[in-house]
Amino acid sequence: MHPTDFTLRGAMEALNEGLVSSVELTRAHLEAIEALNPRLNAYITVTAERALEQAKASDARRAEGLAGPLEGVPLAIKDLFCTAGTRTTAGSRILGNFVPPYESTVSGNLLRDGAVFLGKVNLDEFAMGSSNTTSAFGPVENPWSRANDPDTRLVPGGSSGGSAAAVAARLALGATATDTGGSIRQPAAFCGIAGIKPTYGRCSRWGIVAFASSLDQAGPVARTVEDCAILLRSMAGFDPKDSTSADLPVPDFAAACARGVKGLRIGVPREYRLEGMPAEIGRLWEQGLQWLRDQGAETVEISLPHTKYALPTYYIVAPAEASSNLARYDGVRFGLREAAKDSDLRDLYERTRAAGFGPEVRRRIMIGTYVLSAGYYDAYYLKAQKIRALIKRDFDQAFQGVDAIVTPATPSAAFGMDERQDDPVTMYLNDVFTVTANLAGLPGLAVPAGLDAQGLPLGLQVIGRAFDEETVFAVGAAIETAADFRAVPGLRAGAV
Amino acid sequence: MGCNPGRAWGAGRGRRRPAFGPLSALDFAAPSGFLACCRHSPSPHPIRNWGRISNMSLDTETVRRVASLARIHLEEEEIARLQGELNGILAWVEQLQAVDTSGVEPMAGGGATMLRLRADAVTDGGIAEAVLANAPDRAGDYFAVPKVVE
Repeated sequence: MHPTDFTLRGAMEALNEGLVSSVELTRAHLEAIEALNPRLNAYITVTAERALEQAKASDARRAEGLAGPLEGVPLAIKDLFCTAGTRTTAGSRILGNFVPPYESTVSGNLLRDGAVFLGKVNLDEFAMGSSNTTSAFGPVENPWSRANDPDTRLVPGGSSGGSAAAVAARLALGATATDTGGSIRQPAAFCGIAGIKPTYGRCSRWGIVAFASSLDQAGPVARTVEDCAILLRSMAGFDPKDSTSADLPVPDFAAACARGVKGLRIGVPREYRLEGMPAEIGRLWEQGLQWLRDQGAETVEISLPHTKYALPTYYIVAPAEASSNLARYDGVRFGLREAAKDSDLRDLYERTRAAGFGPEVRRRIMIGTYVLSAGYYDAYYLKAQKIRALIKRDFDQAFQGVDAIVTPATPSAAFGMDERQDDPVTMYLNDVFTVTANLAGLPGLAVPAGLDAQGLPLGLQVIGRAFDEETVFAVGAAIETAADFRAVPGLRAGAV
Repeated sequence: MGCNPGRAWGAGRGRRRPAFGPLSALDFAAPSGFLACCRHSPSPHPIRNWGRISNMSLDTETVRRVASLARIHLEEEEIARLQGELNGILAWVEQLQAVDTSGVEPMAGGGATMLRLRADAVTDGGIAEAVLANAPDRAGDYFAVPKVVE
């Protein structure tokens, strides 16, 4: 077996049994990156030397009996997490040369537990996008392709497109990601892997480049539900440096994967049956519910009446917060500076921000600035915050009668790199099933469940109560077991 | 000009900015962004009639003003395209006006409604080199910028 084919859990067992060393695992992944990254562009920065040093140190710790919970496991880090001494770009020109002097809490937690970092993976600029085509470091290619149209290059989804493509192509055993409106779950679904956005507050946001602070949440992507559970246990935990971090114990999420679904009540929201949705997505959804019934769960139709307002609400709230968060990129303290010969300070700000931000980021800053501006704040921003409260209330009421909710993860399979780029609103519709969990602060997991007619992966989503990721993992693992998803992408380590 | 948001746009225009950042709270009727709501006060020019907004689209002058507030330099040839894109997005979010939100408390955060406070104590300091390490320009232990005061 090639070392890049291990699941994360499998690699940990092989390390424990001495069948493989962290140096061997790390080297195999670095070789795979060297072979495939020129095509996929999943990594922005590969830290090969540092990874091998970390792997050596990890093997030494293991030899001394000091192995941590993730000892020696090679991971990819989304380039939105600050990594001390390693360039962190957020996929933007404006941070193109930014080297943080500090480590984000989440990546620090992974290092504490013994993980090895292979490098920093690509993303939509400032995590704003659903296709990973807005990155200043070029688009990422999905390692999957259509059976009847293998030459059309597909997007991996976004914003965590580099994380998902790297894990699907076996260029890492798992990766960190972030999710503001679907940025973990949509790329996971497009790339045929699992990914969870935990409850808001479960993972510290400290040291993660901010997009929309009331929606942003870190989580893992990996090739199995259990691998996500293992990673989340290390990533999560209370952090006094994030005032929204939840001071709650972190459960053994991996143990919850084996709980089963017998007796659980699974909600099926009728508003998620969209007109014009491909029939195969509706069929897969029904198949997933049947799998859960077969394992002893009961499915119940529920109503989340404000669902159709979630996306427009998001596209007021998120740009508003982004326009405020991104005010810090001013060419003064860090990042790019652009000035003309006779620029005054204001001109320096304006030229820096025009040159440093790409079109989608500029668009969202403009929308956010507009909806927060005098005379429009109440009509747009305050209105959206009230509708957000109604969306959350829908979920609160639904969860009085069900233990989890199951929906499709995305309204389509991965699309071509040249498709859907003309109209921003069309691109925004990718997040129609995922964005509600961000607005309500709830955990949501994407799990690969099948293939479409062209051989592309499709995912289902499990949404749970706040801080009940354990039930989400139990339901996700039950779907995963029944789906027995074994398809692999054409572009992957060892196959090319 | 149905979309003239009123004098508030002009607040602060022509005045020198403090050197701490491109956006000033003076530009907004209410503080912007996350956590702002707990300090929210009614804007001086509230649009009470939501219907007025539904017929509205941004004209080129408003696009210029928003770019100016956001401190983003715009080339003339960018304005028409941006105007179309922004109006497309705004037309799409107009559907929110159909929702009855009377009596609904706005939801600001993603989690608990009360934020934790920490002790008002210094927890770090003495790391000027780390703070300045990524500065585009510096003068001693200071960030350097073009001359601000005449």
